[in-house]
Amino acid sequence: MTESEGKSRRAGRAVMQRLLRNELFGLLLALLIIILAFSILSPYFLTLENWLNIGIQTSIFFILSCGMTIVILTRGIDLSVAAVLALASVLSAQSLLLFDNSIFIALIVGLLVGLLFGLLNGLLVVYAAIEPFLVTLGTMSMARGAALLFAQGSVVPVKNERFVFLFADGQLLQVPLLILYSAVIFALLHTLLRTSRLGRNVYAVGGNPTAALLSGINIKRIRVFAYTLSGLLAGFSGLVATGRLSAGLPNYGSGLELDAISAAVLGGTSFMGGKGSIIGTIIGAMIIAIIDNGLNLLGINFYTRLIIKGGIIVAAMYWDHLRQVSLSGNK
Amino acid sequence: MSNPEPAVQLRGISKSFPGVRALHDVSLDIKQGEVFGLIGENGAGKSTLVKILAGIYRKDKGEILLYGNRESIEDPVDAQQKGLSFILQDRNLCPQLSIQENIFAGRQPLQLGAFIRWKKLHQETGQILRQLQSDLEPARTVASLSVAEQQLVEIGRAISFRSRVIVMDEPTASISEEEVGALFALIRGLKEQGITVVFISHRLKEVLEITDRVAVLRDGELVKLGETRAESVESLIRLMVGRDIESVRPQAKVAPKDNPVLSVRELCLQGHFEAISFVLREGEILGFAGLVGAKRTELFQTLFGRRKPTSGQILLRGKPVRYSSPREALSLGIAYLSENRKEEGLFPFLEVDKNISMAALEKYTRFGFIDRNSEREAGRRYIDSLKIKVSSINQLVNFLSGGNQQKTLIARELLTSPQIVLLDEPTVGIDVGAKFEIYNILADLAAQGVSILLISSELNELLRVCHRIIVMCQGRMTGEFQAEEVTQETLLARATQFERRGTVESRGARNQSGVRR
Repeated sequence: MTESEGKSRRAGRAVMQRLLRNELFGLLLALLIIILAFSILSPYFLTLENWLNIGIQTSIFFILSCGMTIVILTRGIDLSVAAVLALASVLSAQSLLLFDNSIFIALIVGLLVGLLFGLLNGLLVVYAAIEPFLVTLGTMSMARGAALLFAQGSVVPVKNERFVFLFADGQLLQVPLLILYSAVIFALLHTLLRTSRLGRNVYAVGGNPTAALLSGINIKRIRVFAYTLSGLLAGFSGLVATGRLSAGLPNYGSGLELDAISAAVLGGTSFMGGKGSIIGTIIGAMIIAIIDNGLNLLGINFYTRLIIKGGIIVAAMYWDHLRQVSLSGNK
Repeated sequence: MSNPEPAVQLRGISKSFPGVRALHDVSLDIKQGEVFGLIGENGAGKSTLVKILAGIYRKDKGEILLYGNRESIEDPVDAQQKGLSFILQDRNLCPQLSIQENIFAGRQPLQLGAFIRWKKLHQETGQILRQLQSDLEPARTVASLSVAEQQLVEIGRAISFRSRVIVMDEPTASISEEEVGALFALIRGLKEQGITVVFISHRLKEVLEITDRVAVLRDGELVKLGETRAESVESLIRLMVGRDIESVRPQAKVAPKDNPVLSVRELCLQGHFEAISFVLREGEILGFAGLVGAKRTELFQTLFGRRKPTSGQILLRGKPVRYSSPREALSLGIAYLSENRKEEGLFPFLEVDKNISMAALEKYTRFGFIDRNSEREAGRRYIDSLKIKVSSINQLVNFLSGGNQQKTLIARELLTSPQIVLLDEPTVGIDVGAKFEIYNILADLAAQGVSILLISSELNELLRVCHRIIVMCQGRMTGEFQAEEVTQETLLARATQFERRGTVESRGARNQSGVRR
């Protein structure tokens, strides 16, 4: 082996190692393999129609996952999102009935419900110093209970075409509005995390809370912000749910908070906080959504899909663990 | 064979991590019953070597022989069973359990196969502790022990395993000078019992004092293995660094100006310290000497707004100030470096430049958004001026050596353009080269008019760096000296000037009522 051959081989290996160390690369690779596999297995899979369908069906899941990511980045967790979503959905539907179909009021009600619950979560985590898991477990139950109470255990029908257009069926230049909303939210949150001081502080608080405090960061405010944002996104998702189903549904979305956590963690967000990204979460959510869609197209029933989805998440976590271990030199 | 086989023999050990060659072809032998020193700068490969022996890392190449037999060490349990014990810097004990439960964790004497025979456990633990010349009560919980006592428990556990080789990584890093003496007596005792001790330390004087032979690692290679007797602090430093350090000689100090920057009057934090009064002048380096429990850290935390003083006054440039958060302290021009680099300093998942800018991010923010270019430029400036060794500015701070991590944190403090810098043990656990660079940084800062408060457990460090030194013991000031006019002995004497009445804790209430009246 000549000197230059050895050098180029070493350089090649270095590039490989850099790529392997980049989590997003691994995720993207997994996503491509999954897409490839389903494209071969199902002729319908790789059509524009199917992909728009996925985008519309899973927009709520994607938006919640992004909010969850920001909470987990601060070393927290928000179990209440799906329940808050349901409450926002019920109350916005009821406000349409009460306030003469005012879309503006419904919008405010939905967002406000999310914002206030998020704020409550944040304040309890920070000032009552209760574990985020327990706080949001409690508020999850409160929000779900309130949703059922206000809806009196039934659904609240919505007969407002403009509302349904705005939050479900509408299109702008042939692009479904829901996909547009999601894209705007992704872009905003990504920019927030990557380039704003607030975003940097989110990473700091999660990465090392004490060091953040000693660096003069108001860690309480950052934590409250993260939960409030997550709640707000849940509130918005509630409006989407109301639109898509033309009703306020108090039982909607149960278990969706766990899917959101899965997407964030699959996308490389560390439960220890301080590590993760919106792009990672989107890829993580895409993997989950696409596997679900692909299996559905193959005619596999819902129950089996749940099992497979769970298995894939566990396997992905194990793979990530192996990768971390090989990088740190541990066995 | 006349010579007994060496306890541990390493032949051609190599180990690489992505992008780093941690060990390269290291061969050495550790004789039975000797105290073997292992030294090197941070990043020289000591920890990697220890972790390979402990079965935590797997070697890429080479062989390990124990008592002449080739062995492979699979994992830490395997290492333990093969007679190797490790006392690492992080205590490896369950704090809420007792000494006896810790020493015999997982191996308690049982009856009926499930129930612990407490009496026997107590007896056997007592036996081991006596063997170590200790009269600790076996039933005491580990959480109530001092760091030195916890070390003793770990050594006790090693003995209970009948370990023939005990590796101690920086055992003196967080214990007082008195306790070091006790530890050395213990090590000599172990040696008499034929137990081999591998002693890893940055404190070269201690290495010279306690070890029989010493191995020096540099950049992953063994550069010297020989009798300790033939070495001196200077020769070891030369071997570790690979060059002479001119600054080993005491530095010329620039005299501080006369105007006071910080005045502390009768500062008291109930349960911790009381009646602390001093004046810090512009460009002055004021050292704080003391043993563990002198409450120097608590004093610094109070000065940085992490704790609220019970009584007393703080004046900045003659004006009384009140502040109750690090945020406010920073805005008043006070910066603080914690003694816990990992727990309270580093953002492990962030890049070096982002770690540097964290406390001064305001300067690089416009309308809420960070100007990455000027942030990076500031990072680069400090990477250059403090000679922080990085492969790129985007390197995660986690992958830097201890000394470079510390310099990163110092850069963070400096970027806030402070007038007063509080440094709590800035050189603990970092290598000699980086240490001297930090001394130079401090001297430069002082010359520029920045005032510095410095806590250090190494008295010669204080003597070298400071203009003036305050000694604390049990939360009280027990001495104040000009650095040129005092010796280590005097400082130590004042640091051990304990009051018989007990600590401030028991007297706090009395003072409190006195103040109120």
